Amino acid sequence: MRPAALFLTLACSATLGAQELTESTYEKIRDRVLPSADELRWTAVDWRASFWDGVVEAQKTDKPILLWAMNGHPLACT
Amino acid sequence: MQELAKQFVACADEVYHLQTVTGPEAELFRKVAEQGHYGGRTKPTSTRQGIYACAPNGAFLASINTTDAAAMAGMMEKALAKWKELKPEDRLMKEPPAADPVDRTRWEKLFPADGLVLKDFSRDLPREKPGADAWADAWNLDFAWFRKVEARSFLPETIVEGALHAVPRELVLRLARLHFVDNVRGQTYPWKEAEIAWAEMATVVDEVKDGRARIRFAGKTKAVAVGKWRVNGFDPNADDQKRGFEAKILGSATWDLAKERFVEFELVAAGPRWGGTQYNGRATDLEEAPMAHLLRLAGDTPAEHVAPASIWGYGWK
Repeated sequence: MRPAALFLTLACSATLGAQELTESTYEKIRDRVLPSADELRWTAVDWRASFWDGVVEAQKTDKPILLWAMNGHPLACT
Repeated sequence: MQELAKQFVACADEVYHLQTVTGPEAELFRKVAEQGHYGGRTKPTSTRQGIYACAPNGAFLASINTTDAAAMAGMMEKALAKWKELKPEDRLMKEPPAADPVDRTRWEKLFPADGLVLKDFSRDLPREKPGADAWADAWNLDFAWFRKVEARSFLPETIVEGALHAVPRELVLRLARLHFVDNVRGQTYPWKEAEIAWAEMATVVDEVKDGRARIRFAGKTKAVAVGKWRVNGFDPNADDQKRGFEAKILGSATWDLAKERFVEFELVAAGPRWGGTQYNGRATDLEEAPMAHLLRLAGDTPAEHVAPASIWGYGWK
C-alpha cells in the first residue's frame, strides 16, 4: 500500500468500535496502556541492570547483593 | 521492604542468560544459584529463577522464589544476619573485579547510544464483556532498539513539509515480528517472518520549524501462526492451536535536525489478538480480544539500557 493510502485508511476510519485505533481513540488507548505511578513503584529501588554491575558495586561498598533473576529480564520483559 | 533493600546492592538480570553463557558473571551466578532454592533441580524445568542474596565473592546468603512480601522480607533479614557473621576475607573478592571484563557476554554491549531506544509497554484493552479476570490489568515492558542509521530511516531522505515516506520493511518487520507480540501476561515467542501477513508503516512530515521536524506515523501489521504447541505452562499436552495479532499503528515524533535524533517519539499499535503460547498466561483466554503496545522514548538510566527480549532476532553483531 502506498504511504498516502495508509494515512487515509488508518487515520480516518471513524465508525469503528471503542477499541479500534483511530485518531479519535488514540489518546484513550495510549493512556490505558501507560503504567500508573503505583504500577511503577518497583522502579523506586535503585536497580543495577545486571548481576555483574551489582557485584562490582557491592565489592566497592562492602555490601551484600540482592539479585532478582527471572526468565525474561525483570527490568523489562518477564 | 524498600528500607530493607537499601542495605543491599540491588540488581536484576535475565536468568536463562546467566545459566547458559560463558564468562565470570555467569560462572559466579551459577556458583550462587546451585546453593539456592532450585539448586540441582531439573524438573519440571531447570530454571534457577528467583531472588538471591550473596556476597561479592559469591558466598551464598539466602534465596527464595516468591511474590509474597512477608516471605521476601524474611529471606532478606536472614541474608543480612548471615552477612554480618562473615569476615571481610570471607565475603569480598581478593581483587576488585573489572567493571566490564572482556570475556563477559552481554547483549547490552550493542546498546545504540546514538540511535533510538524505545520503551515498549503492552496491555489488554477493555472488553465488551469484562469478566472477573485477575489478569485484566496485567502489563509488560520491553525495549526496542534502532541504530542511528535505522532511526534516520524513519524519515524521508529530504525532510520537507508534506513529504511522504515508506518506513523500510526491515524496521517494520522488526516491530511486527519481535515487538508486537502478546507478552501482556508473560513471556512469549516472537513471530517468524513467514507468519507476518503484512507489515507496512509510513511517515508524513507535518512541519519543519526551528531545527525540528514534526512527523506522524500510520501503519498496519498482521501476524498469524497455526500449528501444534503448548499453551498451559507445564501441561505436557500440545494441541492444535492458532494465534495472531492484527494491529493498526498511529503515532508521532519530533526529529532534531542538528542532533540527528528523535527528541520525542510515540507509537501505538492496537488491535485484536488471539491464541496463546506456553508461558504467556492465555490458556483460558484464547478467544479474540483487544491488546495494544505503546512505544515511547526511553530514559538514560542503567535500567533503561536492558536489551530487547528478542535482541537475538535483530541480526546485530
